[in-house]
Amino acid sequence: MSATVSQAQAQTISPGCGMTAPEPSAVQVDASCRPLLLLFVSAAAWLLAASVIGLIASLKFHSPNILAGCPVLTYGRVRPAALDAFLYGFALQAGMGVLIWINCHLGRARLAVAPLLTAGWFFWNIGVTFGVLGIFAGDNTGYEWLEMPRYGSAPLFFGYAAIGIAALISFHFRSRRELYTSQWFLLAALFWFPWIYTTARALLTIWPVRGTMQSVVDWWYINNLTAVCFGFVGLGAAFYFVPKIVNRPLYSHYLGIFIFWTLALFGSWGFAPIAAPVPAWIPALSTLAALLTIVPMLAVAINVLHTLCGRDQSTKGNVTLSFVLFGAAAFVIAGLLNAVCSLANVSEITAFTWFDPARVQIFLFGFFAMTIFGAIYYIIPRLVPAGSLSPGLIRLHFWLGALGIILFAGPLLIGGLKQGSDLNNAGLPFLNVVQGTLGFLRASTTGELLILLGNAILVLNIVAMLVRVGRASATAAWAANSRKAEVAS
Amino acid sequence: MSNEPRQTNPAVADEAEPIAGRVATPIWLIALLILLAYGGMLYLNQHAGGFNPAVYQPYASIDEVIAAQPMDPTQKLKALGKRLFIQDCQVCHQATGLGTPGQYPPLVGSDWVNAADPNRIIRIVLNGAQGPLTLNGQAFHTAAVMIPWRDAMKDEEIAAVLTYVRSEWGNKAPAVDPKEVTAIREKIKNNSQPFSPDADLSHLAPGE
Amino acid sequence: MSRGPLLFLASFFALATSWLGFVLVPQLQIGGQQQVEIQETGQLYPSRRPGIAAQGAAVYRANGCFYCHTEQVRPMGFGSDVERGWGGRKSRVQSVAQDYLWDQPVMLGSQRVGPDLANIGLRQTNAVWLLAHLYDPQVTSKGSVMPPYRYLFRKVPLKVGETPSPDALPVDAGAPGLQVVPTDDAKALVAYLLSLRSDVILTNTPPWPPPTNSAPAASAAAAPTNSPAPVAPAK
Repeated sequence: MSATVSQAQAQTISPGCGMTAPEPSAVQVDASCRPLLLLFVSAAAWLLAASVIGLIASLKFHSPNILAGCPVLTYGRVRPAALDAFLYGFALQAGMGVLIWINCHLGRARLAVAPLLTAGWFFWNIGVTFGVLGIFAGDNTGYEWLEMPRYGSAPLFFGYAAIGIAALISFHFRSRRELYTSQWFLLAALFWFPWIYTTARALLTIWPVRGTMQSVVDWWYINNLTAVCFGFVGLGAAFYFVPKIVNRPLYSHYLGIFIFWTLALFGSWGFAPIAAPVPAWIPALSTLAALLTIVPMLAVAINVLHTLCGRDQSTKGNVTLSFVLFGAAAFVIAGLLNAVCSLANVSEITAFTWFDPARVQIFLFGFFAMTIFGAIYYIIPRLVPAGSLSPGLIRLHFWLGALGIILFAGPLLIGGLKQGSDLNNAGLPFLNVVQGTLGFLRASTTGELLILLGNAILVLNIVAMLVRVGRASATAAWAANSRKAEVAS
Repeated sequence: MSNEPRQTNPAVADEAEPIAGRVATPIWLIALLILLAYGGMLYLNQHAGGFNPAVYQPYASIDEVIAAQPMDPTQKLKALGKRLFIQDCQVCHQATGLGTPGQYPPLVGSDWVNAADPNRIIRIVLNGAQGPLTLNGQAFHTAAVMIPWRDAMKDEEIAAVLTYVRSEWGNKAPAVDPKEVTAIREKIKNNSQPFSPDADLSHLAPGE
Repeated sequence: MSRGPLLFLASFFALATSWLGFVLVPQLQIGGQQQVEIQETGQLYPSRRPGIAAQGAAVYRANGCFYCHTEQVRPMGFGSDVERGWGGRKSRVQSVAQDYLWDQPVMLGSQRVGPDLANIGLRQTNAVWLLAHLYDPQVTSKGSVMPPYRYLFRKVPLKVGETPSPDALPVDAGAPGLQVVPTDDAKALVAYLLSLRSDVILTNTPPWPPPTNSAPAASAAAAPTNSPAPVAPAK
């Protein structure tokens, strides 16, 4: 196996005397990172579940009576279940997997304390399962993006802590001490999530603050989870995979650090809607912060585009690159929409309409999920060298996902604008306003179907690979046994 | 970079990790940031309501909120009256309105002050007072004389100070209209002598 | 790397500025709000919801009503909330933080698939209408996308000659001999909806149009201070 060859090479190259352990090769790092496969497989499963549940939710706009008899399947329970399954079951979990893999590679560190990671994985998924089931049962906490009841969020947090500690220990024992740009983003996201999660849950469900202060904390949490945790993990992945695949250096480390500081300072300021029942300065400040994030958006575009400049044409077909570049474009679009929506004139039209969920989905799926897909398709074959993913299916997934998010968000953006201007026309009865949005909602269901198919393909691809590997190793073991038996006889 | 032959399996880990270039951040980006920050500060000036928790949209500042408050119409009069009281009356009647026993009668809880019709106390302020005084049913012995204010104070000012006195220290009597002072000043214009409260005014009926 | 801990602290503080500006300072400003005394009536505002309405809030939360309905009215001149009759107070400012003092959780909502409910207790005082709307929205609002909440109701048999239950809804029960009766959850939810109102004038919601006898000059005595409670709270 090539692993032993490079190991021997590394040992002859590095100085002896046991002063420093030889730097592990990329293959050795991958071998140690194999437990991350757990994270990716369960993330993919949760993604599929979230898509199915989300589809049930959007079907209700085709006819309100669909599945209306059962309290478990009412829209008000199905929608948050789909959202939380996506956020905590897929996005955060897969994000952690990508974060750890990239960190281990950049620092040339073996994944440490793998049993802790496995235990963390177990508790995490227990937590998300209980949480989603709790939402179906009606134990919704009432706070958006934090709907999971306590018996779901507590195991989830402990699972995160275990995985995070494993990540930190691996990072501490890395061989390469110099930090690459991506690591700034990834480590910041790693530390920031427990802070915002414990703060939000403490101030909302354990020692609740009074009145609309709860909404302020909720908005702060939502924005920090989106812009910092997901945003930083996605950006870290983009700044890793784009240079690596096109085999050129990242355009500018300093620009990357500039993006880091500006997003840390301005991106994390909560998005309080204008004219919310809070003192006027809170929405005003969040508008300012949202407008200032235009600068890091532009910087991301510059950094990525310049990295691509002059690349070898042979990299054009690389599907991970397609995913990551699509994600980067969606990041810039979503960021600009965010900044525009924070202006009072625009918010007057778009607030409380379908424009907002569409904008959020462009970020969550168009940017984060697509980037993670690209990362997963790059990482998994390296974690399981004996297996291979079908490239045709991967490319199909890309097109389904790309078209899916465009078909999902596009009608909702337009429909949201129409809904907003209709709402502002007081002469138009409310029922007419709602009727006017139905066409757009139904059109966006096609996008959801495509996304669902793409997610199903992801699961299918991974499962098929694992089955093949399982069969191959079983066959090899059987063959080895029968050879032994032959030799013995 | 290793020289081992590349395997046909595409899932061979590449050894090289990405490196980052050292191009400086474009200056125009930083300039844009500063420009946006400056514009943002101007925006906050207009829309943040001075970071005051009482300011909600669409009001832009606490002054606007204060200005929009429904005003008690006598508030202006009371404010003027308080100023005049401190300036002119406090020296005798004290800031607490309790006066000095044996010298200056108290205004707190006084039946003269709190009478529904202020015609008696308007006369006292206009012309001054000298003589026996029965306050709340008891005799108030004093040799002091209250000076007249008919020349020192205008009608509005007398009305203001009386409104203040009638609403302060627990007194709850209605405000005094400057027109009432004008009318009484007209009635007593030929009389420039101080009034004796018991002798001249105690029999005065409301409306006179 | 000796720079490591320093970098960590610096980035943590950069991220934490959002916590300072968005969690700590607002908490200091509006987190300590108390009830205020209404000058006209002397009553305290807001009053706590009666028990059944508080249970109704739990039903509202459990069924995720806030994913389609908002409970916040935007000020005059911003959108058409007031023109649509969703407002409650005769003021330019509509929903303020004080209105949600006792709500746990505060479910402001972020989508208007259905109308705003902040003042539904003022607009719709008929409990039977609300119950019928929950049972089958098409009966009360034809063409609505609201799903029917039939599971909040029971079908009780009605024998011939028996008087119908006083709770029975005037809706088609689907078969003769049946009447539709709300469960406790439905009654609690309707009680909660009927309690939703915020029409009191506060210091930070000055009346509009301004009263005719007011003098435009401001007096320091009526000035709202920087303290979290706009009017001196009742002890």
